[in-house]
Amino acid sequence: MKKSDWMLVAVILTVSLLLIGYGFFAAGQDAGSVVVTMGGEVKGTYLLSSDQEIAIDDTNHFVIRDGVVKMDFATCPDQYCVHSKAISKNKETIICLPNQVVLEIRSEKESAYDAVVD
Amino acid sequence: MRKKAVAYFGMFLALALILSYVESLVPISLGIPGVKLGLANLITVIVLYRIGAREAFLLSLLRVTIAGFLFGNLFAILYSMAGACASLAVMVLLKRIGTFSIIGVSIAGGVFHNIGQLVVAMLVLQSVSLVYYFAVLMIAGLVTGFLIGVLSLETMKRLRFQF
Repeated sequence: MKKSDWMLVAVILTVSLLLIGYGFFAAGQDAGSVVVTMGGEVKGTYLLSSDQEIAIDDTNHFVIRDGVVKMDFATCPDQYCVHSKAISKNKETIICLPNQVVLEIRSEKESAYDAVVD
Repeated sequence: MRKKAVAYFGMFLALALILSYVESLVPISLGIPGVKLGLANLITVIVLYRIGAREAFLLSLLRVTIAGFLFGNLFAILYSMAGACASLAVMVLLKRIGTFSIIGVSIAGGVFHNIGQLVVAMLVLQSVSLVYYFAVLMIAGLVTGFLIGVLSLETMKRLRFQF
């Protein structure tokens, strides 16, 4: 490996670390609710404080329990979303790419609704 | 392309498809979609260095499309294509600049493959918060790019053909 290669690696690592740092900062704020979007459209917003089960059309299904969100059913072939770690902190996401579903945790300050049920 | 290169090109395409298939058999679980070994990039790098940029681009295009029809779905082709184009564009650029070794070029290729895929995912899902995946995907791309780079280097040492 030449010197330029090492400089490239250094730049990549630095940018990554900066992004991780920024991520930690954003996650520090309180988590209030989970916003469900499908193809960019908001389908619903649910408070993390109440345990519930939500189905998204026929393609996905997730559970809120003890303030933690987990996807437990999806029709996608890869099942990445179902195997994803449960999320509970601000800005954390579970995404189902084939079904274009995104579950994202928002802080209480950003939540526009108390609870919206489809 | 000269006749000899055309014959080899077909073989390289077949190899790239096989590597794509083998790669799909190995599940990598980081909880984040989009982390791949990038084995097929080995062929892309070799073609880039031994034949040329245009041929490498054609190879990538064909490989992504055919592999998408064989092993994936329509959306997968979109993401793969974005990643492959971004990756190859950066690799051609760095190779032309000249001060990077194959390993450095491959590292950049790996990183930008993931960046390309993530940007397209963010556009399709219209979600800015996916930006937090950047850090992990960049590091993953760096590691896989490095491994493919080393593999490319060693493979080319043992391949005796030139066009």
